[in-house]
Amino acid sequence: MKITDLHIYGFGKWTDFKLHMENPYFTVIVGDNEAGKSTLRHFMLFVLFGLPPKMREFYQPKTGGTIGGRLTLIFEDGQKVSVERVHDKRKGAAICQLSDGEEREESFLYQKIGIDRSVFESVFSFEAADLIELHQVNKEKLGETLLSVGLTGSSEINRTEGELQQSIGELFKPQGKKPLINVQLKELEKMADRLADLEQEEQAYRQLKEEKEQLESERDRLLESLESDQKDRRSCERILQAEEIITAFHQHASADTKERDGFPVDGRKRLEDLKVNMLPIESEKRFLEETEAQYRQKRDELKSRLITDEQLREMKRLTDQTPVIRHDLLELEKLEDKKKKSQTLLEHELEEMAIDLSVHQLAEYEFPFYKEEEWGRLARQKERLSLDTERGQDNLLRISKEQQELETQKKQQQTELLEEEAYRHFSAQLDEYEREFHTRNDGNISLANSRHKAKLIFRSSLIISLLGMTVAGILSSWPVAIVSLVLALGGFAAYRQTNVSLEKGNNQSLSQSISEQEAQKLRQKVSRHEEAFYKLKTLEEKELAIASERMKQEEQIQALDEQKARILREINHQINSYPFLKGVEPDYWVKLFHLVKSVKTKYNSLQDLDEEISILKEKLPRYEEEVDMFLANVNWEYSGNSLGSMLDELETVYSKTKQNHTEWESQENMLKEIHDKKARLVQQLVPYREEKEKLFLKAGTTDEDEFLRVSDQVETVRYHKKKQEELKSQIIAILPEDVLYSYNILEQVPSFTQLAHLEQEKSQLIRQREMELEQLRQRLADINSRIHRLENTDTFSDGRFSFQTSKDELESTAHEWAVLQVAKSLLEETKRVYQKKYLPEILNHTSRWFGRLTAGLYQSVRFDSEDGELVIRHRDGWNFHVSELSRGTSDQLYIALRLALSMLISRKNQLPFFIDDAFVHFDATRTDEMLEILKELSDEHQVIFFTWRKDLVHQSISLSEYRQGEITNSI
Amino acid sequence: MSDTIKFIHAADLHIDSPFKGIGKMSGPIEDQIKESTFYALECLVNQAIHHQVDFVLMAGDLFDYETRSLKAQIKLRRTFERLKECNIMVFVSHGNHDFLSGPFPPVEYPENVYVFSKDHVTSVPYEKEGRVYARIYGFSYYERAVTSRMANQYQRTDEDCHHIAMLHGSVDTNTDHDAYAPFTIGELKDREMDYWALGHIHKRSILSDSPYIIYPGNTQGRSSKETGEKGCYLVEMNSRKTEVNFLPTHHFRFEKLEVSVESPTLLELEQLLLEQKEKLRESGSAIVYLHIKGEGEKLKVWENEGQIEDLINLLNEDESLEKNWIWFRKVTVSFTQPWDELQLSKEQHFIGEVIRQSEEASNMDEWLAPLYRHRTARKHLARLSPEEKEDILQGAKELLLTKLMDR
Repeated sequence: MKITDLHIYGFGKWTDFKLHMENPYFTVIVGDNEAGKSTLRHFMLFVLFGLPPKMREFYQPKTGGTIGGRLTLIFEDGQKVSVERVHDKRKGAAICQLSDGEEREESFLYQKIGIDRSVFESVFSFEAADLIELHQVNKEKLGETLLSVGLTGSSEINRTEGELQQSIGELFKPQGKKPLINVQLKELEKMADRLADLEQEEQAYRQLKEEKEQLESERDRLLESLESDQKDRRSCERILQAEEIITAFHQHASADTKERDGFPVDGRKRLEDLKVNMLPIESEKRFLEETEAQYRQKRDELKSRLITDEQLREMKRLTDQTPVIRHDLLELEKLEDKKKKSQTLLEHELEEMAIDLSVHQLAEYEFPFYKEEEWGRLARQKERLSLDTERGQDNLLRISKEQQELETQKKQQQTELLEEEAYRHFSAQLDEYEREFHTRNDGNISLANSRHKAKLIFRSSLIISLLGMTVAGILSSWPVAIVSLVLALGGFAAYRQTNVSLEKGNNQSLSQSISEQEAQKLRQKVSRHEEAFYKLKTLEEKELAIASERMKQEEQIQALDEQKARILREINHQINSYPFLKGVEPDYWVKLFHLVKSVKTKYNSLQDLDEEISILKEKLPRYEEEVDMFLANVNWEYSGNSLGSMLDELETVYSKTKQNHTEWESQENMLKEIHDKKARLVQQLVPYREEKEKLFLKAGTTDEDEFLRVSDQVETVRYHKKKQEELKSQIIAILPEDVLYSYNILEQVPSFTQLAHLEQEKSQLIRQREMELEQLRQRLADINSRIHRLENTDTFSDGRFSFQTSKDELESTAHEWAVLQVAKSLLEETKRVYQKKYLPEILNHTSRWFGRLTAGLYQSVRFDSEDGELVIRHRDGWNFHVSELSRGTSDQLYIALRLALSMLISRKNQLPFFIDDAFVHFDATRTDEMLEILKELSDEHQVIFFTWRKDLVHQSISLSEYRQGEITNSI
Repeated sequence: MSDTIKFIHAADLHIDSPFKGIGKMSGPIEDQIKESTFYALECLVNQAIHHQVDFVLMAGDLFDYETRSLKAQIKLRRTFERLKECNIMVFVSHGNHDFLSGPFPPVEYPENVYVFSKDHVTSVPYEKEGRVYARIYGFSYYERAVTSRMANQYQRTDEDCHHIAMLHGSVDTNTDHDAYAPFTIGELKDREMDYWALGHIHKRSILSDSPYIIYPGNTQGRSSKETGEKGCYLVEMNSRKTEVNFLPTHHFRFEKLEVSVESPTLLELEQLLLEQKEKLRESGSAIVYLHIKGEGEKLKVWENEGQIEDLINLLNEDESLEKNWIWFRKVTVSFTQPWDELQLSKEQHFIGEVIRQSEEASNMDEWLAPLYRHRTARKHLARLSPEEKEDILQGAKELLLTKLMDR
């Protein structure tokens, strides 16, 4: 590969700088210091290999502008490539443009170049600084350094190895104490010990746990035995406390407790209860039985007294008739009595009538209904005739008197009569007055009133005075008499006064035509005349009437007399028919008729009575006979022999029989009732009896006595048993079950002395165990607190954590160490391999180059494998170590090595050498030789040689001349 | 009739087992870390009580044989007592870390805890209100290693209830762990269980959802390898369906943080880390393993000059005052190498040879022997795993290259 053209757009000092290398194989660029030689070299490196951005910026031209540029390369195969790299384009990546215009990535370039910058730099690019650096190292180390140059093309191997060794030493020395790892290890050991202790402690936890468990189980065992001892002691105490009761229990237990089998429980009581229950029933039953006997006896007695049914029927029949018979009897008696009375009465009545009529005669007379009428009419006619006759006589008398009276009155009235003339006159006068009077009528009215008043007053006073007088008379009181008198007088006076004044008034009016008085007088005369006239007329009329009356009366009297005669005939006829009428006035005949008629009626009824009596009397004897027969039949003794008494007897018999019968029936009923009751009682008794039987059966006894005897026996046994039970329950209450059983308390009498002894023994044991327990508890508490402490401590955990942390640190430093160690070992190994494999070849080349550079003064460079040093053989056969070489010679050796190395590396690609003032310390001969070598080298490699010495070559590119613009190398 | 049961499935509690590779940190945070497994346990129990579960399954590795402590046992017992108060059963099987023959302190658990104490599979019914709701199957490790296949020992009974199997072991495909009681998912499915409560693998994973075969992971991350949320599963199952929900129990997380920076300044880096820290803080406390990646050599310079460590210390300085603290830890710095290792390895120069040698590195054990076989040191240093060795080798190589090419 060769660089033919370069174009700097801007890079450090250079801006828009173009350089054409006409002869690209060996180009010498001459420039003073700071002329920009190195920058130019760096530019070429930059375009070929690139630079990190920061470093690129370092080359920012002061004048500004783009950093970057272009190189034109020609490769061995003739391919021409233009490479452009600009700082701010494509992130500083290169772009390759082929001759045909095709553009390729940077990777294309790398493929072409084949190595990277660092190797390129370490092999193909050397500068004065390398040599200066070379001489800064120790003289002794120079050989080694040179070797390493031979190995790498740089001085880094040695330095690296040294640094590595130092770092390793700082970290760890197997026997050291100060290095970091040694310190860490020591610390770790310490921690490990401590952890082991802590772990031991945790191990102790296991032991503690085990110990704890053991102690606990021991404690539990102890507690258990303690408890059992305490229980035993308590049992003993209790038994001892209950000594009395236990003893008593056993006393009762040892008594005869053989109980008859099956004796009913509470037998006696049950029997008594049964009896108590049965007693009232049985006594009732007994009472019933007695009553029954009584009743039965009575019933039998009654039964014997009972009549036969036929008799009974007969009696019943008779008795049924009794009321009728009795009634008949009564009736008969009544009738006879009545008959007697009626006869007497009849006789008496006839006697009283005092007529000629006896009782027997009565039967002969009939008194038909019309007889009364007939007789009455006769009497009445006779009576009326006499009356009418009498009245006719009287009327004649009265009429005669009245005729006389009227005559008298007629005569009186005729006196009162005026003369006809007079009367006319007066009447005319009065009429005239009447006409006048019409004008003054008022006063007359009041006048009349006043008069009326006066009259009133007078009458009143008169009455009062009369009353007064009367009173006075009665009271014999003068003053009253006087007062009344005065009153009477006063009254009269007042009346007078009034009348006087009234008279005066009337008189005054008349005086006009005819005086009033005259008129009055006239009027009186007229009225008196008129009155008398009228009366006279009336009297005359009356006189006429009476005369006709008188005539009539006289005719009547005559007729009456004729009637009288006819009636008398009829009366006589009657007397003939009924002789007893003789001597009796017809007036009384009607009365007599009634009497006789009633007597006749009575007589008739008497006749009826007789008939009735005879009927009754006919009926009764038959009945009587029957009764008598019946009574005889029933053996009834009786004294009376009248029917009435017989009836009474019969009734007595009847009622007696009835009573007997009822009584018997009731007895019978009662008996039945009693019987039922008894049966019920017996029924009631059955369960009791059965129960009782059962009791007896159960007890194996037959009767109550035996039962009671057995019962007593059982009672005793039971008493013992009960007592035993009571005591037992007391014992049970006092003593727990287990004590009872374990000490057989109920089976046998315990030995109390032994128990007392045992109690003491146990107490002692308990004290002992409690002490042991206390100790155990203390130990347990200790262990528990230790366990607790262990359980709650973080020390171990923390310790291990920091142990781990330290271990981590150790790991980390160990890793660091390992890296260094491996790096160092790797380096050593590489060195070894390298020495074996490549060194001989390199040294051959080196020997060649070195020989040429030293003009054959030194013939060979070889590697002493024993001391690992480079050995340089002098032409004279002397061997030298690097440290023995002069500075210049060692520089040449360095360059020889680098050249040898480049031979080795660039076998495929002939890469250009960039040599920057590398031969500062060469003498003229060696410099020439060096140039020769470079020229030789440039047969295969392009060599770009930067130097400040213009004298070295004839043809060179002077930078000072071509500062700006394109320059062309013509070599 | 309801046949719903609710339980919590947890495993690998590793109570009170120390954290590896955390190193020293601020006192209060260190205290929290120390207590974090207990906290996780507490959290688990709180969840159980809060969700009123019927029982809790703990599928092995409740604590560590190597780091057994009385404190762990006592705490566990007290925790179980709390569950007992809430009438919650606990089914425990022991795993390879808490195997039964281990010399654990003799601590008795309350009666609500059923421990599968046989080395072969047995089962126990879970009864509620006098009815069998579930049958739990399980076994415990007697010895540290159980390498036989246990799956075929799980014989489902005919009971009409939920069948839940506890198994502490590794699925065959898993190569990260010792293959204890290995099984394949197919084998488990053949057993016709309703739920497989697995343990042993610390990384949470649901191997199958029909039936559910679940590694709940551990309850608290214990190293930088166990990143993210850690916890247990809340399982609610009835005859129709099974629901599983993850419940975090960790007290803090392990997180890995990679920050990529291009030629930054220290201040910029600090700013960046501060931002990241606050972002991380939102999800709770965490120990964060930081990896700074960047271009250029500045980073390398800062690292070498200890400036990055200073920066991290500065960032960690006040964290112990935070409720949700973020602790940056074990910062690694990587930057884009300015060389092409592949290319280098092909070259015949020294560096090429270094790379080639590092690829062989057959003598590593010998190289490391001075420390790793040192009489005292080997007691405290873990054997290096191949990964670690590789890590070391890479580190060494990078160190060498860096140094050799540092000019």
